[in-house]
Amino acid sequence: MSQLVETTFRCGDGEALMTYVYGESSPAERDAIAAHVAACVMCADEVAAIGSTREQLASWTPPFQTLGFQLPRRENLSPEAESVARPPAATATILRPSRWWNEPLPAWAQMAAAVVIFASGLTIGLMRNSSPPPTAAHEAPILTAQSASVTTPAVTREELARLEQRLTGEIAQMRAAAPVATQPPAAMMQRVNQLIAASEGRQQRELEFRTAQIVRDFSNRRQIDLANIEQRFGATTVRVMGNQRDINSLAQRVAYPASSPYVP
Amino acid sequence: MTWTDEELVARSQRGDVDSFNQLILRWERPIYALAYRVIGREEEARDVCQEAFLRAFRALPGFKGQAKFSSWLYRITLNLCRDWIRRQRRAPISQLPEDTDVLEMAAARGPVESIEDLVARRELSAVVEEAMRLLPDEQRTAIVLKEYHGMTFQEIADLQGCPLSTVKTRLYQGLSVLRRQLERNGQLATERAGAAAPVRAEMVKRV
Repeated sequence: MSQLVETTFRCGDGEALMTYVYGESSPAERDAIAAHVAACVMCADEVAAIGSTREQLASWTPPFQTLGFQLPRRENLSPEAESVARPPAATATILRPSRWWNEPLPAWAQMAAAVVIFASGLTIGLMRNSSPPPTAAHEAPILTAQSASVTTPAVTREELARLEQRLTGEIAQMRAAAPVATQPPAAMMQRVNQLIAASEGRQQRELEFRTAQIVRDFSNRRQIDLANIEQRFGATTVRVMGNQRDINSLAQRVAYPASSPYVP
Repeated sequence: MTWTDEELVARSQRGDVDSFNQLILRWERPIYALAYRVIGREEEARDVCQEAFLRAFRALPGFKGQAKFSSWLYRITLNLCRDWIRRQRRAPISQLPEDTDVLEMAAARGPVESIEDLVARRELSAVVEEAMRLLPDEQRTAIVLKEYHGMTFQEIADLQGCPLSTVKTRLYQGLSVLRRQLERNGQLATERAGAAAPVRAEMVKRV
């Protein structure tokens, strides 16, 4: 009985057709459908159409995206510890594409930038308030001086000099420490490779784009040329036909003189 | 030297982040492609891809190898896609982003074919993408899993949580719609290509 069900195929049985088209039907089922398709024009058409649709589907490619997600390596990082010890929000940032512009600046560079901004703020503050004598009444924390400086310069030049000295020292220290903190060569190489790959991809796309443009221009040109040739050819043909007509009529006149009763 | 997925999973479960990074490297392209084909947006597909790996990593202790790692990853990805689609339900996803460049569409592949074929295929790629967008989500997902990820009906049924026969019906109906749509678009394309011809016809007529 089951054999009967398996080996019977009726037109419009989409499910059976799918197992057939994707090669997932049992041998008996496959033979039955193949036999039916060989005999039934409608089903043969359908199978062919599905085949050509699937061929067309193969051309769909997703747009290129730089991916390169990586989990940062951590000491003693085990999934258990990760998922149990940390709330999800904290782990939500651990995956990120290792693009160079997404990487945080090294600490010494951040510090240097902070110093530059801070110092310029102070300078502006001092210049603006240069006419009234500096009050320096309270020992304001240095880091709030930028906002305080609009009303009162809260620091003296000596303090500034001291600060500068201290920061220079710290920056020098960090700079000395920086090479140690930089990434291991492997990670560096990987990043360089990624950058190179990205750049190659870009160039390739650029090249493809240009080539496509050239092909388009070329085929336009060819079409115009073809049209021109066709036009000239047409004109020549018309002239040739005209000449032929003249020759024919002349020949007729020679063959059947005006006096003849056979003038067509 | 090449580890299998299972080996890499086992090592990741013991806390080896590098092994998990290898898994990411191995699967991020297919996962991104799946997400892109299902939800149809580049940036969002990228986010889904990243989130899928993150979730997989967090859920790794609970993964006992009852399924293939890839199937498990596909399931996570599809769940994320479904959530995304639900959130976006009000906004139509059926149009391409405005700045989509047809020539960019298939740029990922190397130009091993002739330029004519390449350009033609890129145009076709856009046409197919457009037609796929018209399908209901379940049909589109079923076709994507079958056509681009080579899954069996059973695997798709497991992923979509529906009977085997439903998967086949979804594929059949989806392919039928695509067929009509592509035939229609094909005709349009031919007519558009034919638009260059009147120049010639006119010239011949004038002679």
